[in-house]
Amino acid sequence: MHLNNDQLLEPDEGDLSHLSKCEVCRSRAENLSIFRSRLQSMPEKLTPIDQWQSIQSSYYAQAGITELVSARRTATFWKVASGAIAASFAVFMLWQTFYQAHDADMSSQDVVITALIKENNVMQQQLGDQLTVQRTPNIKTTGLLVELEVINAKLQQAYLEKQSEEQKLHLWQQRQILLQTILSAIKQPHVIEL
Amino acid sequence: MPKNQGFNQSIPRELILRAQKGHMDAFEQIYREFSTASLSLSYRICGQRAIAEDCVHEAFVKIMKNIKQFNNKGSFAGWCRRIVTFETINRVKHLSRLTLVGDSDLENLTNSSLFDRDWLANCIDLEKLIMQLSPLSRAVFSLHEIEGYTHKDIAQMFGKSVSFSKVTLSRAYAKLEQLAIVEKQDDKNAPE
Repeated sequence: MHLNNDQLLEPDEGDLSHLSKCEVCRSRAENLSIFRSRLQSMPEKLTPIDQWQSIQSSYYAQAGITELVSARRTATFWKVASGAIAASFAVFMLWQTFYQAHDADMSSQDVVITALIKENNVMQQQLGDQLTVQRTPNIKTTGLLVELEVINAKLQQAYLEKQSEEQKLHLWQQRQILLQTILSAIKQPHVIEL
Repeated sequence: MPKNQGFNQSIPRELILRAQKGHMDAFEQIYREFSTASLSLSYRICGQRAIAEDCVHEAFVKIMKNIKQFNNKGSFAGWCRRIVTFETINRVKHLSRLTLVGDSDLENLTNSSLFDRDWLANCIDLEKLIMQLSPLSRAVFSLHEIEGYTHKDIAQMFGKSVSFSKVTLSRAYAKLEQLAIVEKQDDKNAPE
């Protein structure tokens, strides 16, 4: 039994053993071998002169995009992280306020502060959501976020130093206005975003 | 198995390491070593120069982006060749509608004796004949007969069975035989 075409094209060990013994199959394998030699000697195709420059440009363009995406991811991480810290701080303050309100008789200022904190928390949550969705804040928003961090620090200091309720109320009001400004700035459509 | 000479070159390890560190001159040197072989491989698979050039372009961008993943254990040339091959095959898949081939088709082809005669030696313009094959036949033929991939490799590349590769290659040879006979007759009938 002679080898079929497929066996000649890709012989296994048994087929090779057969080839060494069978003159007919060896002759056919020789025909194939000559043909393959001709295939190998076909002329190569020359690449265009400027192809390397073109490849390089594409590589740089794609690498640039990768770096930009990476930078955006980092920025989003820090935005979310700072938002989470601010929210935690607000929750802590809220808990402390409630604790104090239940422990002692609540003054009218306490009631106002409690309501302000609640509103601040709702807005903080909205801000967190917006920042997660938005890829990069514009310059104006970035500046406002820095201002928010400053007020957060001042609030923290006010509670640590046990400053007057009036001072705390003022800071919470400032924070609320600032949050409103940031939220309205974020909701405005961007003209160009790279 | 026959191998393409261009991809048989061995690239110094230092050059690969430099490329892995992002040195553009090392990348360029690698490109210079393999570009001709890559274009020839891609062209023989897809049969169109513009598409082949585009495939080589995309393949080299991928090589540059993924070179850090090359672990220096296998052949770097083989790794590059595989990327070029996959890039081109993906294009061929779009160009030709792939059809599954059953074992019955295989049986129909195994009885013929393609290599009994010397029609292969009489082919005048071999490349012209190969370019007349269908995109799929040309792809399998080039990968097996020129690049030296096995039926198993080709089956994996196309996500098909080994039978698919065997039948497609047999059909490619059968078609080449027909084309060679026609070419020979045309040559005889041509006015002197």
